Amino acid sequence: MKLQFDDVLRNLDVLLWGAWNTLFLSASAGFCGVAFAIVLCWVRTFENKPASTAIACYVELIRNTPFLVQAFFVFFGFPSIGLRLKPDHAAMLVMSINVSAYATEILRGGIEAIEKGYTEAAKSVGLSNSQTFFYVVLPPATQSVYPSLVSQFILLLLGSSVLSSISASELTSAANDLQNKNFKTSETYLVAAGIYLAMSTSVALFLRSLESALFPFARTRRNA
Amino acid sequence: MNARPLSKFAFAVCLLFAMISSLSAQTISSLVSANKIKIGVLVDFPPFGLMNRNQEPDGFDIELAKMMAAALGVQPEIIPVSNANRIPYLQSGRIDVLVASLGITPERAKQVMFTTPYAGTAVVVAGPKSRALTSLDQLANLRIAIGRGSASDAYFTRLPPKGATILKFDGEASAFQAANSGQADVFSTSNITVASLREANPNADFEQKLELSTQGNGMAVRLDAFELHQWLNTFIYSVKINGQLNALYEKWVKSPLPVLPNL
Repeated sequence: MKLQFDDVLRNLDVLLWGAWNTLFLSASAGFCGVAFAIVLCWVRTFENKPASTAIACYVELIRNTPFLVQAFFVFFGFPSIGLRLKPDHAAMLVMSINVSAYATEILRGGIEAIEKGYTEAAKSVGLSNSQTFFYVVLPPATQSVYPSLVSQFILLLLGSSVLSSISASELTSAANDLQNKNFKTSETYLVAAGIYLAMSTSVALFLRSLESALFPFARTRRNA
Repeated sequence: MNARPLSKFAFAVCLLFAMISSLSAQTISSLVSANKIKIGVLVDFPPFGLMNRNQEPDGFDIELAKMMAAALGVQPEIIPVSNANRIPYLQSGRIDVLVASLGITPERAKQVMFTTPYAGTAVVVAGPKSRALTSLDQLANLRIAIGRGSASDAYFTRLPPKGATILKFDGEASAFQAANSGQADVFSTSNITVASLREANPNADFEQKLELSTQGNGMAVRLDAFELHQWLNTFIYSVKINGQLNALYEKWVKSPLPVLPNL
């Protein structure tokens, strides 16, 4: 068996369109998921027992069930409670839910590592609980776990490949469709894998390069 | 410093290519002397291929495959494949023959060699009883759920209805589920699948609406396996003549074997 890439390269636009959708889905879901995770971490600071328990249950439920099952649940299950989402919207929702649970846990690690002195100092100058959280605790906490958040995002981007099962239009479903037409399975998936590799490495590089812009205080803090 | 892992990688790649290219043409005597034939079957396409109560592959295709191995005088090794990977499994030598309800098309015949048809099915559209659907024009602007790589996929890729959204899933069960949960207006699969979905879901609101096309299913071997191909044709001829094929079809599909043109 010789590898013949002609049929794949001729339809490269199909794969690139899929790659663009993967990137778009992951970016939107990553943004929504992390935003939601920050909200959950903020709610935790109120130390309200029922709310914290509910958040812990949510995080554990999502982190301990397979992503694909969550996707099936959202796409096939939600219509029975009247929520009918298009495949791509369902994909975005389930990716956001998934990444929010992981990001909540990652951020919790960062927040717990913040020295008590920070919060005590904030309170002594009269900042409220929420002000302390958003202005004093969250920025350095996020900065310290930023690399973990980036790798979580990469995992999300690669994990989105299973969403072809709910008919979402992303790179793997584009590759599935293409190899069904050209029967060049190895070649098609090799090219798709190459695109995934290029996407995840360049996204990782891009996000890391953002670090100093996102956390201008980081350099001084590191040097301290 | 990096030389060692790199050379290991290169070695692995070479090994992979060597394994792929070492597939030699298959003869009857090589199968008989190995006393084994590896047969790819579907297990998500009842009543042709399914998993029975003991979680073993069963169905029309599987029983016919075992009958075929018995006639050849070798042990069958039944290997479940999917719609999407069945041809690659055959090409890469992981199986010797497909008895996997593979519809005979000139496109696929560039990749595999088909035997004369041993069974037949029709591609149909099914949907809720309330939906009026008597002509192809009425498929316009609908959301149509199908299994990726199925005959419905081939049909709608060739003749997409105007304005329709084709939702592709990784299996017929998901396509049905999509229509059943309202994520799609109708779904398309074979007449046989519609019959068994009806049996499994007596209360679900769907019925067969439209017949799109009929197809004959052939067994398939690699393009260079002439001996096996000729032997399989002879086997199919003999079970057609002696009534075994019809009896098997009646047993599983609950309808007489359709008249199939010879290939």
